[in-house]
Amino acid sequence: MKQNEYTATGKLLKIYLRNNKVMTLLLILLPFLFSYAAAASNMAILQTPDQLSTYIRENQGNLLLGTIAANSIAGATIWRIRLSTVIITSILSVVLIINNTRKDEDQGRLELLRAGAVGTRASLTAVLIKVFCANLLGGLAMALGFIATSFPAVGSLVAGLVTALCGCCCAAMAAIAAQIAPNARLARGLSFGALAFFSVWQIIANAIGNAKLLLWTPFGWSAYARPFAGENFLLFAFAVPATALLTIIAYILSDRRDMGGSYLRERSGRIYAHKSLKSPLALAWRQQRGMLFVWVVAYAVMGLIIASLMPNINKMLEGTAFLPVLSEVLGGAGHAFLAILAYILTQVLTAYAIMAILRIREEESMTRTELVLSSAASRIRYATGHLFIAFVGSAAAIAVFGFCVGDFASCIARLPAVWLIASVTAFLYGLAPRAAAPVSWGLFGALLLLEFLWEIRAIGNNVFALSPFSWVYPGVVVSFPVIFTMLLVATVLVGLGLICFSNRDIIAE
Amino acid sequence: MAGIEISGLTKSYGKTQVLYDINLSVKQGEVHGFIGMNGAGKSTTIRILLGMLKKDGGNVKLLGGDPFKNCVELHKRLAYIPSEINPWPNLSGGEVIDLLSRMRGKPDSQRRAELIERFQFDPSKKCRSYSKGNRQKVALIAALVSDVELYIFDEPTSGLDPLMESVFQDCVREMAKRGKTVFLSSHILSEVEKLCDRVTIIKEGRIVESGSLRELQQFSRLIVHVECARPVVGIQLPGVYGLSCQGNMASFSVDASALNATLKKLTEYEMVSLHCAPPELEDLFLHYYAKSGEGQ
Repeated sequence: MKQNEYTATGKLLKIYLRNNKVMTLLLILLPFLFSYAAAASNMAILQTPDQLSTYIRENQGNLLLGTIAANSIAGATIWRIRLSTVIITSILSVVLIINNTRKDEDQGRLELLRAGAVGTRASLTAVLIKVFCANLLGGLAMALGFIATSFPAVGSLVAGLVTALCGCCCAAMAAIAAQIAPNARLARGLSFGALAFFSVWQIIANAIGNAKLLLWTPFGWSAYARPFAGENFLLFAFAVPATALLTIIAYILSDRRDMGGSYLRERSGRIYAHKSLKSPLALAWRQQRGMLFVWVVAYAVMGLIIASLMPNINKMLEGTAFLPVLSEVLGGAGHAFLAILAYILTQVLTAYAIMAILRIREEESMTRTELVLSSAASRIRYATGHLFIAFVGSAAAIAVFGFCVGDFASCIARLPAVWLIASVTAFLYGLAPRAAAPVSWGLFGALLLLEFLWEIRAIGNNVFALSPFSWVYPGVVVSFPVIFTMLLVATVLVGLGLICFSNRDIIAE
Repeated sequence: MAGIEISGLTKSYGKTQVLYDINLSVKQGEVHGFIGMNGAGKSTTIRILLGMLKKDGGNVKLLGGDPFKNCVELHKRLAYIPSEINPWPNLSGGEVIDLLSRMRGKPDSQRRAELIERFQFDPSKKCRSYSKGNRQKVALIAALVSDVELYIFDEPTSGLDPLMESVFQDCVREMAKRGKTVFLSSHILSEVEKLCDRVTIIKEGRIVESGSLRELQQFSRLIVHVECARPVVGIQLPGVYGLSCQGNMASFSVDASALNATLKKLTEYEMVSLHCAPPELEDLFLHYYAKSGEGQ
């Protein structure tokens, strides 16, 4: 009997479209929001050619974002948002792919589907169609955002399509990782590792100033394609086949393995636990050390790269008027650059701290908290184990970075802002565990949005002052009273969270 | 001191009331069965006993202490098997067993080896690769390895094969011999019937019956299966319930007080065979669950 490998792809696609709806919508809408908001604000700010040329001069030679290729508002706008857009779309693409591939497989859902009249390639095809289409729609929406602000249509479309291609490429890589890794956690880890590598590669390419290197990181494709600056259509001749090739590899790997099988083997564990594994803290450490290790190493590597490039950076920035105000405050363009980078890394670190704390909630909903508490561990000891790792871990990461770049004090001075926002998560976990994750991430997102709106001058200083990030913004001297206040509030919030946790129901679902 | 003493316990999740007025007592050294359908409130009661949930009202005493306030001290004296366990995917089964028994205190390596042998368990695999039955074995061994006063089991054998079920039952019998208190929540009635001294039946958040199996049987009807030489008709006497006749055969339940009259009547049909027995736990259980169903 002949059967089709793709049978029921459409039906699975319908199911998958109903999964992760918010993330899928974000993947489509965020590029539009970014392009339209940034374009509109730049149109408002950069009204005279003078303002435009000053803006370009000040921002030229940014290691993270690269050079502004086109001498126009459109060029300045795409330069400003291209990296942030692709980072977000590629993270969303990775998570969406892994959720409907390896995670479904881990949890037995895929087997349930496959037991029906479903082709062997249907599931992978359905999820790839979903994520590819969402990326393409997002790309088109991004182009639309530019065109709506009357940027040139060709450049807008190229910018949108390249962004979409980057998301698709990362999705295809995640599909490969889902075949290789024996579980969803490792599949996500491998994919995010690839994204981190692309970011580092992008910085190296920018530092060396070799545009050809940008071809080898999807994050650099947007810069390589030069939208609004004499579009380089050759990029598509590379990027499209590259993405297709990765997709084909994912299919081949998928065809050659069993349901539930993987290329990397699950290692077998210890028969007896190490003698130190006997307390909630030791357990929390076992649960969290992998993620913490990755973060600390990433921050150390970033620090070392920046430190080694520092002489170059100083030389590069010497002639330019890179962020003149900030440079003057901090005594040099190099210092200004470092301060901005350290600030961004502080913000990213907040995400780590939130994730590490929300791990307790995950444990609780998986009924593991119950298991620990029923074996004579107190609630306080249990929760503080995870909190300790979240707080000390975030301190370790930023401290290592500060040590590597030789700017220890100012890096550590920013840490209380991270702790303050993380302590809100700890408090929420104690008070209302179900709301902890959405509210924490919502708050974190709102703070970033606030800053974005402040940067494009849609809101004033007084509104941005509500965000703890504004208190440690580059150029701001973080005084001891501010540090002390943040630490005090954080301590109170954590304490209240622990009290609430000690007195509430353990909610498993 | 009672092992478990609950009176007037109530609990609701938001607007849904789950436990109405739970009264329950488990003596020390007793194996007590706690039976009820899914959603009847078994797990909620147990999780209150473990201090995971806060009671709304009533009194709960566990080994003489308050299960919420004294939970850490009490947990050193009890072991718990949840109905479903999702052990840490990156830890091996052996590690989880060691971790949980160490946190409870007094881990016993000889007992551990013995249980691993009896349950034919491979402790070296990572928990994420265990099947449902093997995950349950992690929970079983981690609890049974501790020598404590009270064992609380919430559907402990879910996912186990019949062979392992009987190993588990042997373990419970041994514990009973050594004077341990066991509180066994289950809906596998044959298991409860085999193991338990006393039984409590919970339905929709209320205790509908509690006592030894003997006591429960005394207050209930006898089950009769009879075969006669002639077709059986017209034996619908007072005290006879659930009559079903099929040709020469009939089955029904009957109040003990009406047994004599019923048998007299049956002699008219020339009985060929007669089976008359007190109800099994399953019959009792179905009886209680059907009874209040009529009332609704």
